Amino acid sequence: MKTISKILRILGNYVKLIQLSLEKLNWYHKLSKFLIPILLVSASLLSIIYIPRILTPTALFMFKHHYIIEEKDSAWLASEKEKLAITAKQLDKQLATSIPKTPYLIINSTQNKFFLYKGNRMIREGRCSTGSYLQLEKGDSQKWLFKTPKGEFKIRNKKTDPVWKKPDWAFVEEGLAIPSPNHPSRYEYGVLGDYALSLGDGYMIHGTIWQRYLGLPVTHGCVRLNDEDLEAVYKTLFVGSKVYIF
Amino acid sequence: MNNFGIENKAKIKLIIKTLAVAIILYVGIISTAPTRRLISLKKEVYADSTFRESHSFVLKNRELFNTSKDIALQQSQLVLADKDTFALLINLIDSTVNLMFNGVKMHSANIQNFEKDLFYNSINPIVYLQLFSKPLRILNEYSTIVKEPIISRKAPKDTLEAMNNSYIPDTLVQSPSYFRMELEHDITIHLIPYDAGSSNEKVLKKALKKYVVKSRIHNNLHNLLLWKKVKYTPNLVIYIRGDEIRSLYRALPSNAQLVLHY
Repeated sequence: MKTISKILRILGNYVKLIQLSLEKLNWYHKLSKFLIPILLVSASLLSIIYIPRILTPTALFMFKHHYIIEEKDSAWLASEKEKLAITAKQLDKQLATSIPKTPYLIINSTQNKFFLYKGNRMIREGRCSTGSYLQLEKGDSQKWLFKTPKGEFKIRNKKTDPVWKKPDWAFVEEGLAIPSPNHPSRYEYGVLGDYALSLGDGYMIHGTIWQRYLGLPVTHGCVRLNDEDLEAVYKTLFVGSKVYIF
Repeated sequence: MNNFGIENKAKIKLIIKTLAVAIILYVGIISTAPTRRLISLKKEVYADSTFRESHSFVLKNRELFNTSKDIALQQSQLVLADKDTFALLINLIDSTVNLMFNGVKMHSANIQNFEKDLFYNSINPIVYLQLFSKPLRILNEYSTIVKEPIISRKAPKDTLEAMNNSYIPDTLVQSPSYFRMELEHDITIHLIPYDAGSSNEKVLKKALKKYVVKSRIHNNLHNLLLWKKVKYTPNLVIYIRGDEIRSLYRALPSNAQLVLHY
């Protein structure tokens, strides 16, 4: 309190000094009528900038919990640490159960990359191609959205030398008439690469003859890999392995 | 006439003085809003005496508090592991933003830099454990990124038209990625692209500062006019690569959950 009153007295003396020197000037008398309002307006404008910068950190610092006197009793500390260590271990065990024990695949459909894992260890990564988000519209009634679904999937089955049975949209996209369900023109050989892993609902992980487009979102929903990556994924994953797509 | 002029001048001076004092007082009130928010949070948490008593040891020793924070993170992760949905885990200690699904880490983005309000460092240890030992829900979000960049195309009439309309996506053109999440307890998290001083990054930084200042002024004036309490939103700004922000945003469902550890 004494210090504050001292500071206020010193400030007051300075203000008087300024007043006295200004009184010698002619324009002071006009200005003095508005001096206090001008000072108050300036103070309020400056306060918008400076008060938060000083007051906020000061108030937060005063409120913060400070470990001024830390409990260092070794017996108590040791017993608390042990309890926490036991809790942490139990939680670690529980968390470890959520990680798949068998190899699994993660696909980033935004960056068009894949990551093959065994437990917590990544064993392979590379480029892939996923859905293009193209919506093909035929008239008002028929629409197909080519996107790769997101979520958790399981490998339903595995094939070598897969044959592509073309769905209706494949003909619509090329401006062709849609043939009957088992027409020979529906079957294309060699376009899906050497292997295919099915995720269900018509979605697959397979190879491609358009390897230069890997890393781009160009597919109709399936995931395309290059030949080497596809072989590694095919040989590592098995039916029931998890595939995560995001 | 002269008396009238003198009276008016006196009134004007009085109004200016009153306004100036009111502004200074109001700025003082706003400046202490973070502290008052911390006090109200502490009251809420301390109302639960069981939790307070069982965790009072964290107030006595810093090391125990740090260990308890790690346990709080594990507890939050366990809650996430039960959900069949994508969620975010922001770990400022490891400097990573992780995408989680069913307890499995899908993707990890490195945090290049972050700025957090002083509010976060001043949270009472027991309040920290209560708030951050479970995931927070994202109540509102805003982003410059298109969630599903669908392009419509009419089916070609014949093979010639099909050949002329063949489509290759243009991946070079990308608007600057920005993602803002408004969580429970008024916490706001901004994901800003860190592209090493590019013009996009500078533009976004400026726009972010403008947004934060504008929203605080708007909230405060709005609350003042309605004679409500001054609201404070603690901000956390995280700088990661732009393509990572895009991956994270597109993976998350609406009202996803988020775990924060710092």
